[in-house]
Order: sequence, then C-alpha cells, then structure tokens
Amino acid sequence: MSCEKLRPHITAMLDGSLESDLKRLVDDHARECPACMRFMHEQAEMTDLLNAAIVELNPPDRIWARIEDRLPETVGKGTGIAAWFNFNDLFASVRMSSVRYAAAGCLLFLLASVVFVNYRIGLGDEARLLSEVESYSISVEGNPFYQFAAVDSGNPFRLERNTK
Amino acid sequence: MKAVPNQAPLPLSDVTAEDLSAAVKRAQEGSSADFHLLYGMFGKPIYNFIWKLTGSIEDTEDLTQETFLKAHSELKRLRDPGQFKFWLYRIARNEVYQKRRRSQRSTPVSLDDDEIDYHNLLHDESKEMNPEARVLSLELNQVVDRALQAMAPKYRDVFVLAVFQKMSYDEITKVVGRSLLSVKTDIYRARLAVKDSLNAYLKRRER
Repeated sequence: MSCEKLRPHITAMLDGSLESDLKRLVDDHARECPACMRFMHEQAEMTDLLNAAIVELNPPDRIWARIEDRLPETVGKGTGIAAWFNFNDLFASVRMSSVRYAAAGCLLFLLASVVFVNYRIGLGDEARLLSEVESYSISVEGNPFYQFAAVDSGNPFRLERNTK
Repeated sequence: MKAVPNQAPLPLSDVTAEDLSAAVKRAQEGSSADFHLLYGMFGKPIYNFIWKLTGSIEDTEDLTQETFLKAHSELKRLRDPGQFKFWLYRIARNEVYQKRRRSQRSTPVSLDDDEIDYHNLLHDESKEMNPEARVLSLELNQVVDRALQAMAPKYRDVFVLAVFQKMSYDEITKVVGRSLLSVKTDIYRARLAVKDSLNAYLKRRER
C-alpha cells in the first residue's frame, strides 16, 4: 500500500478507530517508512495540542427556558382539544414530510369543499332569509286571481303555483 | 430516573445505554421530564458541536434550540431509541446546513477576526491555567476555528465529530451517512488543513 493510501489509516489509528486487521499493516509500514513515521508523530502532537486547548462551553440556561416555552402540549399534559387531537399524531405514520403535508392539504381541501357546497346549496344568506318567511305570495299586476305562492317546504327555491 | 426543573447537565458517561433508551421511550410517550433529561445529557455536546460548525455563539443558541424542538416534534418517528444520539446529531447538522443556506441567500458569511470573542467564552477551567497557557489556548482556538470555517463542510463535520466530540469513526458514519472509508479520508484531509494552519501559527509565534 502506498504512503498516500495508508495515511488516512494512520490518522484513524490515532483517533482509536482503525479496524484491527489494518493496525498490523500500518505498524509494519510506519516502521519501515520514515516519512510516514514522521507524519504519525506530527499528527499525534497535533492531537495532543488540540486536546489541551479544547474549549468547551456550557449552554446558557435561557436555551432550555426558550425550548420549554415553545414545546407543544403533549399527551397527558395538555387540556382541551390539544389533549386529544394532535395534528402530528394524525399523520405520524406517514414517514415523508412532503407526503404528510400533501395528506394534510387534501384533508383541508375536502373540509373547505364541504363547507362551500353547504353554503351554496342550502345554508347561504339568501336561503336563510327566504327560510325565515313561512310563505309569501306574488301578485301579477292587473290579475288578482293569478298568483304565485312560495310555501316553506324545506327548499326555498321551489315555487309552487297557486291556483286560487 | 426523574428529571427536576433546572437540574444540572447529566454527563453522558454517567448514563448507561439501557437508561438512555428508557428515557427516550418515555419521552416518546409524552414525558416532558424525560425530554428535559435528554436535554441534560445532550444539550452541552450538541451546543459545542454546533458552535464548532458555525463559529457563532448567537447562531449556536438559536440552532441548539431549533435542534431540540425539532427532535421533540419528530421523536415519535424514531424507531430505535438506541439510535437517539446519532439521530440528534443528524438533526443538529441539518439545522446548521439549512441556516447556512438561508444566510448565503441573504448575506455573505463573515470571517472577521473579531467575530468570536474567546476571552469571554472560555470554560471556567481555563481560568485556572497560568497566563501563558491561557493565551496559547485562546490563540489556538482562534486558529483552529478559522481553519474549520475555511474548510469544506463535509471535512469540517467529520473532523469536529472525531476530534472535539470524540466519536468513533463508526459512530460518525451513522451521523453523516457516508461510508467508513469516506469518513476516514475526509478526516485525514481535514487534519492536513488544520495542521497547515497550526504550522503557520506556530511559525509566526516563534518569530
């Protein structure tokens, strides 16, 4: 094995991550190759230097406080709707987030469609206004015997001819 | 194991794999106390991991917060609680990449010398060093940090995980999702880059 190919294994050995079957190979090569032996010593020195100089910071307490503030209500903790209906739970079995969002979008579209159709068919403002009137009649001017009357039959758009 | 509010961080070395898996499972079932316990174990390593990747304290705070919030919301999808550590590091790494992509779209990344004030950041233990060792430590950290920020992200990730987080190469493959040979080669290249920076610094210092 050439020096160039062997050196990644040397640094792996210094980091304690070299596979046991390669360790012997690296040892044998380094013993006979001054350049690789020098490389190994330099890297070992650098590791010691870095270990001595490593600065570790403690995360400030405010990070957890901010996390806690934003944690959503979870099962057993929340009350009301959040306690029994969790949007994430509903789609938890769907692994890909894009598919999950698509499924949520379809559900919302379906709900919006139901509301829209309801509004157009029977629960719109005009229908509500008409349904408040039990019955009414329309006279044709000049002919008091020819009238239409609307009867509250559940369908405000249906006019029945009155033969009175 | 029960968590109490404002408890001290729990060193990972004091936690067995069984205790960790049990805490993850309870957190998956909705236990806030156990999620806090997981933060106690991994808050500091993740914070330092993100800090070494970004080189910015302000970003590190935000990204640590986002990492744990993401972990909380996705925790139920983690099938093997034993993989929690690597899964959490993956989330942290992804958050850093996403942040970097957003920053690159808006403003160029600054590599100003004064961006990191190490004098105010050093760990308490460093205050017990003699003055010369302390100055050396401060300068070395700056040199290493500049070398890290200058290298390609794929080298930086694996170098930080191996040298600063003391992960084995096998563990690193689980975080970065690359082959063992690829990880080994990338760490080697990163080491060469850091060594060049350190050599240049040591030569300047000798003059």
